[in-house]
Amino acid sequence: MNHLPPSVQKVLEGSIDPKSQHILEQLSQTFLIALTIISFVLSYFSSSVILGLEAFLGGLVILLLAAVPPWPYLNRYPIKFLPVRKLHQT
Amino acid sequence: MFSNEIARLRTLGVQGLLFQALNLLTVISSGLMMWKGLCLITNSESPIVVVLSGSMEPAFYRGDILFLTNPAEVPYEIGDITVYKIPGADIPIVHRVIESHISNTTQLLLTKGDNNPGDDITLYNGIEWIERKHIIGKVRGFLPYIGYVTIAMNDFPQLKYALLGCVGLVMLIQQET
Amino acid sequence: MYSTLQRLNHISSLATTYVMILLGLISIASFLSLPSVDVGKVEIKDLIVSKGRLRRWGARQEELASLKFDLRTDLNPLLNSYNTKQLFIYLTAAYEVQSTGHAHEVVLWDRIIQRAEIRDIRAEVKNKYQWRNPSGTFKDVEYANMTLHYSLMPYVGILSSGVAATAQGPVTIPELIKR
Repeated sequence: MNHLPPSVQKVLEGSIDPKSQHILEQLSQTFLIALTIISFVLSYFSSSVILGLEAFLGGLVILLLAAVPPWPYLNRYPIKFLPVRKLHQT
Repeated sequence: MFSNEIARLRTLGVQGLLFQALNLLTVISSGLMMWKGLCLITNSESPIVVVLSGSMEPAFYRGDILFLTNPAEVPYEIGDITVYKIPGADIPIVHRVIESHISNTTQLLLTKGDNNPGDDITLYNGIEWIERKHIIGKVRGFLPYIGYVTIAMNDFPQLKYALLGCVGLVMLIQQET
Repeated sequence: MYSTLQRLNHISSLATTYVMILLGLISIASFLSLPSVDVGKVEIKDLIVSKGRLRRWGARQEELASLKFDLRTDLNPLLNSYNTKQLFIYLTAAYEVQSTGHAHEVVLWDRIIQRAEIRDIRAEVKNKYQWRNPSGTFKDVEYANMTLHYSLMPYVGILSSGVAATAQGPVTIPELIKR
């Protein structure tokens, strides 16, 4: 990756800030657990296995769209790097 | 191109490399233990099989995964879907038992695929009945589609190369963490 | 560290685990909630034993039994239940030969019923498969029990089976028809 031009690197990397990443990981775990339970209940009461699977897939697509591409709202807490300081010449 | 990786490996040293090898061996052997443990519990030489032929359609299509058990003291009944291997042929066949004759020494079985017009006598390679010893197990559980990857790999060898190509590509654009 | 690929990887592996859990839940729930079947009736008519050959290469002449039968059963609650992909129904004859003590069971007729078909089984059919005794003759066989079984194939999960209909008591096997 280091031998590709920096603009391409940035696009392929798609970083977001660490705090958002952390929140995202926890949220996706909770979301998936809820999705599994809802899909199961839906499929049981509608007596259709296919409906449950479609519901799960739909929910998954929504999660992927909201979480994977580096949207601006995911970059709300950018890391503040300290300014570059020159060391004293000894 | 691989200078980063090679430099990293060099910093590990002989002990480091051996440790990594040991880690790898642990993973492989625990996987093997789990598989063999499953074979013991189910008393079957291959408790998970992939459906290879279309002779049980529309119940099982090629690529479906079947879970088998082979309880030792329980005789097979007609209507059971069994996976058996004819001595001399290597392919396991998944068909239903349509005749069973139990004597005090053995149990003779005749099978037929649901989608086939006639019974399996032509597949038996000369013998007239199958016996318990030919059977790998009886189908208890079923998972659709998942095994299709293995069949696709066999039928389309280009897929194997395409997959290797993709892995190589991902390795190139991945950044070292 | 926080790249797109890493998020994609993380979410896909989580999703794979959860989809497997979902399938497991569906399998268990459907297996535990299978509806019970009202056992119906099988009526056997025109059972005869005559000489014939099996439909296979090099078959010798032996005694074959053939029959017509009437089925009456309602399999709808099972067919439309939660996880049913199809039902496989088959008519079996079970008999014992007293002299040798051997137990025999053969399938005479079967049919595949897919989920979408409404099936109130009422059929007058004759046997699909030839019925023969491995010893070649039916003279040691006095009677047989006829049962209609079903085998339930789910979309995902555990296979189950049961009895859909039985005949009213054992059926006597007649003498060989002398031509």
